Amino acid sequence: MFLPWLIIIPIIGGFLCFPLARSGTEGPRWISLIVCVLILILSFEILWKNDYALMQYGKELSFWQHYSISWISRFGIQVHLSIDGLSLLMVLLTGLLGLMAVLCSWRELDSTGWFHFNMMLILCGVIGVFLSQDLFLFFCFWEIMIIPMYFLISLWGHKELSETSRITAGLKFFIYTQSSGLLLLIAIITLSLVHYSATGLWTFSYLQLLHHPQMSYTVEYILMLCFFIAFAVKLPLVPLHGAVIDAHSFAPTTGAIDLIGLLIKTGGYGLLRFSFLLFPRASINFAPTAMMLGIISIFYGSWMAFNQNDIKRMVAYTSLSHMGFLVIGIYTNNSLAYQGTVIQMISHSLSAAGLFIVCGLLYQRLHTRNMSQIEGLWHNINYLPALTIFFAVATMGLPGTGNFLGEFLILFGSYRFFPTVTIIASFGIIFATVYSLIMIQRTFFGSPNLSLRLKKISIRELFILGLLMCVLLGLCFYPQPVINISSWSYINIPY
Amino acid sequence: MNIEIKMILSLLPMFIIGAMIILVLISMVISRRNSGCSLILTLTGLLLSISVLIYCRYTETFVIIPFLSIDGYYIFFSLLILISSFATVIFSNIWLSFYPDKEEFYLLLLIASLGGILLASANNFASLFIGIELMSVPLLGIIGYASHNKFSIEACIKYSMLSFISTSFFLFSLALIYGHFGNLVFSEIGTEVTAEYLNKYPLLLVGLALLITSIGFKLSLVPFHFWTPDVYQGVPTPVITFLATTIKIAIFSAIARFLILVSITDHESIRMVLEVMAFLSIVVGNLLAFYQKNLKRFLGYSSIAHLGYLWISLIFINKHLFSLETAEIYLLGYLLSSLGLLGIITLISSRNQTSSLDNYRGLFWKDPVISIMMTIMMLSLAGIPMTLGFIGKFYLIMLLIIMHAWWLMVAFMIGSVIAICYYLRITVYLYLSPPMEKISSNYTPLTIGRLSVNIAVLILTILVIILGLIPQVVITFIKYAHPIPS
Repeated sequence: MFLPWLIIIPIIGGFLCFPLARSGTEGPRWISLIVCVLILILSFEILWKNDYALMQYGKELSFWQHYSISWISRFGIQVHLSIDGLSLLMVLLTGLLGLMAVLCSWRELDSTGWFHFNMMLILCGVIGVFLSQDLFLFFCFWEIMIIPMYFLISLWGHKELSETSRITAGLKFFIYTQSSGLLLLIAIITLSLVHYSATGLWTFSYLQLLHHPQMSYTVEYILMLCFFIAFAVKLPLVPLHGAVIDAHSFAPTTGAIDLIGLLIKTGGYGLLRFSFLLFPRASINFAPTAMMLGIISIFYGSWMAFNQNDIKRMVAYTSLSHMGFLVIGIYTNNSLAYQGTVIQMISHSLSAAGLFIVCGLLYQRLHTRNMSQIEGLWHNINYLPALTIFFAVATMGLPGTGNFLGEFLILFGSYRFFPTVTIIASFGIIFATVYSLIMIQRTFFGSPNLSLRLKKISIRELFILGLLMCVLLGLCFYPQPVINISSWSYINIPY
Repeated sequence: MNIEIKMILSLLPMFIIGAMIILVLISMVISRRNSGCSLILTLTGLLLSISVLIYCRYTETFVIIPFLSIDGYYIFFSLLILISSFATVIFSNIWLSFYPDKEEFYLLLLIASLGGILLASANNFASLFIGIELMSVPLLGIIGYASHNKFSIEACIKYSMLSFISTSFFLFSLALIYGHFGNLVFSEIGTEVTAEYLNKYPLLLVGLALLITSIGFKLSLVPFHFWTPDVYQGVPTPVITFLATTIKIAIFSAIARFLILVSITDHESIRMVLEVMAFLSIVVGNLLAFYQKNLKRFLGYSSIAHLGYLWISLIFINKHLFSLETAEIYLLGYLLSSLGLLGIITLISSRNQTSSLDNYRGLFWKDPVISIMMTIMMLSLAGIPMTLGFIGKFYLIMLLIIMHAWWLMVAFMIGSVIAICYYLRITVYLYLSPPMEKISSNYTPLTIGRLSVNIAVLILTILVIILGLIPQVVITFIKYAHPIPS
């Protein structure tokens, strides 16, 4: 059984890092590197071993692998893990971004075992969220990844800022996620209680709660809202974006990658897997509102991004704007948009990760993140300008990158059902072009400061960015494998 | 009448502790005040009682003798009370090593624990009163034990004033209740009391209100909480352990039994009063704890908030067995994690005499094991998954949903978000870079006292994690811990 190992390996890795917590040795880095590689290997193994022909295209949900043991029999809670196409893709992405994060912090931090311990716990929590089939277990993992994140933000946060402001940023992030998490917990318990009062059986199992007895529409709507808020905080969507944006601008480069790549995806994943399936009636009625929020996010995000001087904050706002497209895709409710959503999730996190790494590299060399102080870098750092342009172009969704495909499929899929929304959202792409070009223009053009001699980009850094670039290109030119894998779980997300 | 041998056995702790009180007195005379002797006697007595109770834990039967009910409920709560007294003895060892006279402390502590056990089994207002007094009077001695410290004297005076006032309230309520029923037994009063019945007799309602006030003082619920932070600040940490766990658990167990047997919470206005008290305790306790810089005052306010959560379970306790289960799980989580936290604070504050938060800055870089344990305890008190505290929180949310208590749910949400903020803010202090001027830390040698506290905290940490991961063990255990009405 591979599934428990996907969760146990990061925990073991974390605890191996732990004795080295105080020494600044190389050990923890290698351990986390090995853990991430192992996660990737294991998930590829699962991918290859499965015989897709055996998948049943029926009404019942089907997963490739199951693992379940009883946990708290008083409430019928089980440790129930299973994997399907969507979760597999997410686990793969998690492994890849984890690898990037480890490589990225290779030299940058006085990275001790404590840092890697926290990172491994986040990995464990995120993978747990993707695999768990029991809502109680899901909630445990959902909470587990927040605490190490808080530590990462408040202890390794941006160096220029004072300690108190870092801790405050961490706290703000924590309050948002924690209060929305409480809503989620209340909703989960209520759902289980509704099931109990109808059938007399305690269960938190996702598969069983799917066939929950009819509850009144109001209750369903309220529960759906609780789920939506919890997921929207992690996406982020407009009224709830404050904490995540702040966390980005205060977080270290690696933390930012984790945040964007991992935590955010759990929001999208949660909406796809839980919100829609558990509360179909309420979700369909809620769709216009959610799409409205999506549109607001698109425009607000891109306008705010255009306004920023801090380069990292700018990237954070661009991701807010992309999440708008994601929500529109999710709530469109059809297969084309769903495929677009999956591709958008993957490619957006890769391109944003690329941009965040570029920010980190620039900061390492220039010790500022203020774009008005950076000028004329075009001839300075050998490959960096070219790579930056690639990621900026990917963010604006130029054909040839995965982002283009994702946005295209989402808009294409939603046009049939929500033409007005689609037309308005398409205008968002124009603003994406504006803010990415303005970023390039501000930082790389202009009169070069010739006295500045900046360190060239190292092979390790080139490798990270190159790998991200290859995956993004691959996603556009040969997206069929991804679409295939995710479509196997499309029957799990039937509309 | 068929009495299981286990039931007789489970009465034993009272006799053991009683015997130990006399033995400690004798040993004081014979061994010419050799404190080691009384320490060993106290620990053996407590340990023996704990093991007897653990042996008897799965009993279905019960015995009722005129003043006491010996049942699973009594066994469970006495176990908690004795464990916390045991921990207090171990923690107080470090602090007492600076004192010439140690024996009286053990003596007072034993008497107070005897009172606690009595409370856990009281099924009658008379034994309830004896229990409360047996516990509160020695407590005055314990609080004022550090008599050279002016804060300690202040705490002692404040506590004694309030203790006497609340006792007089209690006696007055007793008089009114007895005057009405001519009876002091809970179960016999309970057969008559209904909501309509209470409406007919306003004087009885006054009596019950006085009872609630008196219990509110003892449990330091808002609005009767003002003494708590001052007293906590004035006393040494081991005494806080006793105040925050043993005393509160004992009184809680007694009032919970009363509320199970006598359904006064059916009455609209009594329920509203209890709800308002719970609401205020949670919100005010958490809000004030948020602003504290002194760790001891902080503990005082956070204990008010935790008692507020527990008070919620009391409101519905006569309707549903589930609320008793909630109270017991929550109490166990609260007991284990606050004992652990207080043990760590005892260790740290024995190095530097102040209880300011600055002592904890950068502790991780000096003492990683202790700070990890402290982190786990904090997370458990905050109710983060994979700890026992979370299971309690989970139960509480479920109870609130079952009972449709939406206002209390709002209080709970506000409270737990604030609580997580301050617990985490203190936790993150442990991992910051240590202050430069304090880097020359005064190294303290590892004595037996310190070692035993370390071991106790380690065991508590492991318990919190293990029971949080496998809560089914606790759930099976507490299935037997309910009072069976005759």
